[in-house]
Amino acid sequence: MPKIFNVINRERLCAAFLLFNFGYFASQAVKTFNDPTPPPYVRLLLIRSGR
Amino acid sequence: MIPPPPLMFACYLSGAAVEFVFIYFLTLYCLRSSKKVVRFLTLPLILAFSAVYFSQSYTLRQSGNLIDVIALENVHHFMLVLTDKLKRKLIQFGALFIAFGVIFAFAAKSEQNKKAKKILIVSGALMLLQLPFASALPSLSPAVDLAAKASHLAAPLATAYRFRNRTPDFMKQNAFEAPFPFERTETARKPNVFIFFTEGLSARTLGAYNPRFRGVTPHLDALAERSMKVENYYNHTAATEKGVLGQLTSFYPARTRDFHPEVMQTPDIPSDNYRSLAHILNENGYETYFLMASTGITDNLPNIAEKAGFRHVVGTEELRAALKNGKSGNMSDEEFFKAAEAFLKTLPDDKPVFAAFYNLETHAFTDTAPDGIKYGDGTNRVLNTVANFDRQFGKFFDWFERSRYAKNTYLFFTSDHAHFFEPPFVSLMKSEKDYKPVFVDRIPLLIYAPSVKQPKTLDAKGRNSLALAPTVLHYLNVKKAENHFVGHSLLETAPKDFNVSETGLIFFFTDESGLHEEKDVPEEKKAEWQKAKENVMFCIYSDIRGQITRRTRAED
Repeated sequence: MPKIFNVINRERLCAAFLLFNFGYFASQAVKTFNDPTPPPYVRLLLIRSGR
Repeated sequence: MIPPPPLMFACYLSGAAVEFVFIYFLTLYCLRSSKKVVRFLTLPLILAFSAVYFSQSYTLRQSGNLIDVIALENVHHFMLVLTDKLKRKLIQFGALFIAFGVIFAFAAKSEQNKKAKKILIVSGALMLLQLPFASALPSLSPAVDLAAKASHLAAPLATAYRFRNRTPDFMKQNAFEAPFPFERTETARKPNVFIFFTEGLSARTLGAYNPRFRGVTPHLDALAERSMKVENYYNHTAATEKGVLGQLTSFYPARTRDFHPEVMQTPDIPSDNYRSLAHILNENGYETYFLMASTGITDNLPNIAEKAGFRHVVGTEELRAALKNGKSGNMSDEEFFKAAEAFLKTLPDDKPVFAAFYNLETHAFTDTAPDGIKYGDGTNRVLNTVANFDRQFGKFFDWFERSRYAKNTYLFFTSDHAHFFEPPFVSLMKSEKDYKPVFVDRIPLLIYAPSVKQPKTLDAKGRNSLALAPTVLHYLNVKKAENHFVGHSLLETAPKDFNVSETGLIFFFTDESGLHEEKDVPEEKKAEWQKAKENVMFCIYSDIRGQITRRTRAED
C-alpha cells in the first residue's frame, strides 16, 4: 500500500469531501444572493435591508 | 410566512452546517463500527447525501430557491430540463464521485474510537431540533427541507382523514346556464373545434397582450386581431399533465400519478373517473383527436389523453407516418405543425372534428432545435422558442385558412400553464411590475370563431383555465352534458369574485386586481378562501381515489 494512502485515511477523506460539498453549496448560495438574477423580489428585499 | 432573504440565507447556511456535522459524525460512526454491514454503508451514505446537496446547490443557483414540490412531482420530466450546463455539471460531479469512491477504496481504514458515538448523538439531537422550526422557516436545512417536501406529496393522505365522512358530489347535468350572448350565423354542420395547448406560454410573452413583444409574435398577434382576446385569465394549475387534464375536465386533478405514494399503490385509475370535454363531444357526434409532439417517454401525456376520453391519441409515430420523414424522438415545433397539417388533411370529412394540439419546443430550459429560428442575437432562449413557435404556428394557420376547416372551425388558442420561472424568463420580465416568479400567471386565450359576432376583447377579471371546457361547450351550444366541472363558462357571470390556482399544493388567489400569494389574501375573504382551498384539496383527493364521477361512486 503506498504511503500516501496512510495519510489519506478514510476519515480525513470523508471530511475533505464533505467540506468541499458544503463549500460548493455555500458558494452557490452566496452567488445567488449577491447576483439575484433569478428572483427579482430577492434583490428588492436586499436593497431594503440595506445591502 | 417566508422570512426575508438575509435571514433565509443565514438559515440555509447554518442549517446546512448542522446537517454536514451530523453526516460527518454519522460517517465516522459507520467507519469505526465493528459491524461489517455498517462499515459498508459509509460510501453509499456519503454519496447519497452529497447528491442531495449537489442538486440543492444547482437548483438554488438556477431558480433562487431550493427544490420545490412541483419539481418533485415532475421528476420524470428530468430529460426535458437537461440543459448543456446541467450535463456538464453532472459529468463533473460524476467524475468527482467516482474519484472519491476509488480513493476511498484504497485509503487506510479507521481505528476504533468511542468518541464518535457521543458526538453523533449531540449532532443528531441538533438535527432533530431543526424539525420544529421546519414549518416556520421552510428552508432551515436543505436536506431536511427536501425530505419535508417529498413527504408533502403525501398531503392528500392527511386530506383523506379530514374528508373521511365526505362523499364526492360533483355531478351536474348542464355545462352552462346563460344563453349564448353573441349573434352568430348558423352553419349546416356542427363546427369543428381546435384547441392549442401551447407548452408553457404566458400571456405577457405575446405582442397582443404585451406591446414589448410585438416583434416576437407577429403571427399570433395577427390571429389575436381576428379573434376575441380574453384578458386577465390565469392558469389554474401546473405542470403540463395537470394543466391539460385540468382544463379538459374543468377540475383540479391529482398530482402526477407515478410519483404519488398512494397512487403508486393503486395505479389503476378507473377509466370512467373523468367526464372531459372529449367525452362530451364524443357523445355529440364528434371524432376526437389529441395530437402531441412528445413521445410519452418524457411525460405521461398519451395516458392522460386516453383517460380524458380522446378516441384517437395521435403521438409522434402516427404524426410521422403522415410526414414520412423517418425521424424519432420528441418533435420540434416546425416538424409538429407540418405533421399536424399532413395529418388533418387525411381525416375523413363525414364527422365534425375535435382536435387538441400540444407542442413541446416552448418548454422551459430548452432552446430551439437546429431547424428552428433564433430571435435577435439569439441569447435569450425564451425569445428564441416563442418567436420560433410563432413562425411555425403562422405557417400552420396559413394552411388552415386555405383548408376545408377554415369556415366552420372554432379555434381556441391557449397554453397548458404559465411559463416556468426559469432565469432567462425572469430576467426578461423583471421590469414588469405585476410579474411574480411563480408558476401561475396570465395565460393567453384567443377565440377565433368567424361565424360569431363577438367583441374584440373579454375581461376574465382574474378567472382561470377551469373555464375553458364550459366555455367551449357554450360556443358549441352543448348545454345538456353530464359533467363535474368546477369552472364556469366565461360567457356567464362567475359565482365568486376570486379564484384559486394550485401548483404543487401552493395556493394562489386571482381576482380583478391580479395574482396574489396566499399570505396576501384580504382579511375579509379569509374564511371563504379557506373553504375554497379545502374544496381544491377535496378535488385532488377524489381524483386519487377515482371517485369524481357518480358512476364510480355508485360502485363504491
